[in-house]
Amino acid sequence: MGKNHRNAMKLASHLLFLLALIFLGFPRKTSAAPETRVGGTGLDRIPHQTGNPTADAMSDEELLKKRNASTPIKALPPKPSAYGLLELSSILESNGTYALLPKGSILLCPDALRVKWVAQPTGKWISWTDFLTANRNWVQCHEVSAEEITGEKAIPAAVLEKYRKANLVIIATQRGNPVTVLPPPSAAVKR
Amino acid sequence: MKVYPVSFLLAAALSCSSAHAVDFIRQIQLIRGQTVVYDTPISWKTGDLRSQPLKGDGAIFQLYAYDDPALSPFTLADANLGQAVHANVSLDSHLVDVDALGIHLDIFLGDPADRSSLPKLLAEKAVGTYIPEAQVVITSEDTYYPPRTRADQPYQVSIHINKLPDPASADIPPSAPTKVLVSRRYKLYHPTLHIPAPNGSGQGVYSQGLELKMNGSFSIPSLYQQLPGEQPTKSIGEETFSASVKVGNPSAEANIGAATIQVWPVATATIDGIPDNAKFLNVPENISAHLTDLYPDHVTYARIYKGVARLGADGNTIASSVVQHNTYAPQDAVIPVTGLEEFIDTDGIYTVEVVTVTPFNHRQPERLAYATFEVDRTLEVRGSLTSSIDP
Repeated sequence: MGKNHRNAMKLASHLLFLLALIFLGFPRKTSAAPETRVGGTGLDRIPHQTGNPTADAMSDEELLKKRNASTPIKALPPKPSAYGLLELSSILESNGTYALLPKGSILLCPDALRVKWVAQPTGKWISWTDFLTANRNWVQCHEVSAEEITGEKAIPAAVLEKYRKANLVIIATQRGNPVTVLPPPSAAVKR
Repeated sequence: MKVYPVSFLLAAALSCSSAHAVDFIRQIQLIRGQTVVYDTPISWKTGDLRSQPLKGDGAIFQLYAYDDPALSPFTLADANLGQAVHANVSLDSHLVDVDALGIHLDIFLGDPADRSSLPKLLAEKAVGTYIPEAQVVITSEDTYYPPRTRADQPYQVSIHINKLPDPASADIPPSAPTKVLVSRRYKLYHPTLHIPAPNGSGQGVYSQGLELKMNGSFSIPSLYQQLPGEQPTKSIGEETFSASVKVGNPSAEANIGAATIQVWPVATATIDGIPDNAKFLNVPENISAHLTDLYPDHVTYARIYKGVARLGADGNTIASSVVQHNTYAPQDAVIPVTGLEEFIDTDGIYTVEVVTVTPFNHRQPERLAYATFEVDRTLEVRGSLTSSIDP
């Protein structure tokens, strides 16, 4: 009985210790914690440690003096990004919608469909997948290999010829997503 | 050409949901001075995106989002942001941590007629074997996230550069960047809508720039906002520090790290109902204060004390006037200043002042406005009573 009693005491003290640990271990919220600062009205909104005002709101003159203490800074117009969205995109347009494709991903575009390949977007942007779904009758994808993308290997002429006969706009894709195809370096040199 | 069979896992933890916004990641691969562009749409809510293998001189990852302008931004904010973040409808400013919060938070509040708007660039990061890493951190006295400050308060910037190639080393190809360029940009907000202009106006760069040629940490301990405008205390907008390197051919800059801070105006107050040199025959009533541009986290109230205006005077807080907000954008309010009879026991000169408590000034009140008046309840009659009765 005595042993049981001692065990129970031990357990209780352990429990107490655990409780204390949980209580002390967690960061306790003070009145300044952001969670307690919610919107509202009434005297109890004022934090307890608030004293009398210690400063006036800064005037424009004071601020100008402070920020001009360092070297004067001029505001200039923005710099265009070399890797901007339009700079690296080819735009296909159809029925008031347009899709942005990687520049160089349009492998073939027959003359009859040339009007769909525009320089400036107009209308509403839709994702490439939605655009493809809506325009499957004249847009088709051709899966390219990593070597073909970098131009180390040319896309077989027979494949391109097959597409040319079909009178379709052909988009280079890798794993279904459109991708740029670089011209073979040797071809570039020849030209 | 060297090929690095590295599969770069772009952790795009996209905690988004709405089907209206469509997003994609553009990977720009720099190969032999040319750019190969991969576009990968994102249609799931969370997860990792396996990028194309990194080859050549490096790659630039860009995250784009497009929002359907027909969608109500507030519905989207309510539905998606929930309790996880403070619903910041001005997230158009790219202040979201894209990795953490997801990209659907970029809410378009612009002109709904502007149907041809392009997808917006939310984040850009260049990676590669010889492309250094940069981390830019902006902090202010306000610990809120995304970082914000008040127009009259300084902020701190720290830039950590890592893996910047040593130009003296023989293994480094000549195209590798040897310095990090730090530029400072700005974007002005609409003064009452608190969002940037949808058409991209009101943006620019500052003439101030830095060039860092060594790895390590670099910090600017105190900087004041430089937003252009007539009234510097009423500046509203954001400033961005971005670190970039010259990559590709022709040498174009690609972003390797950036941080942005929002700048909110200094509040102003006007006390209505107390004219200059006012003398009241009784305790004044119908007094109110108009508050404009209250800091998003503030407690503002009116106080009264006997005597002429002086800073730091002991005073009584007028209970009816206390107003508090804790939100993401500046607030306006009109507060009633009533129940003054409780504090005006004797006749004499009194002063009413409006003070605001914000994260700045060590969370001690700052005086926005004050008005002094006299109460004189003794009625003095100067005159004589005459009667004119016709004889």
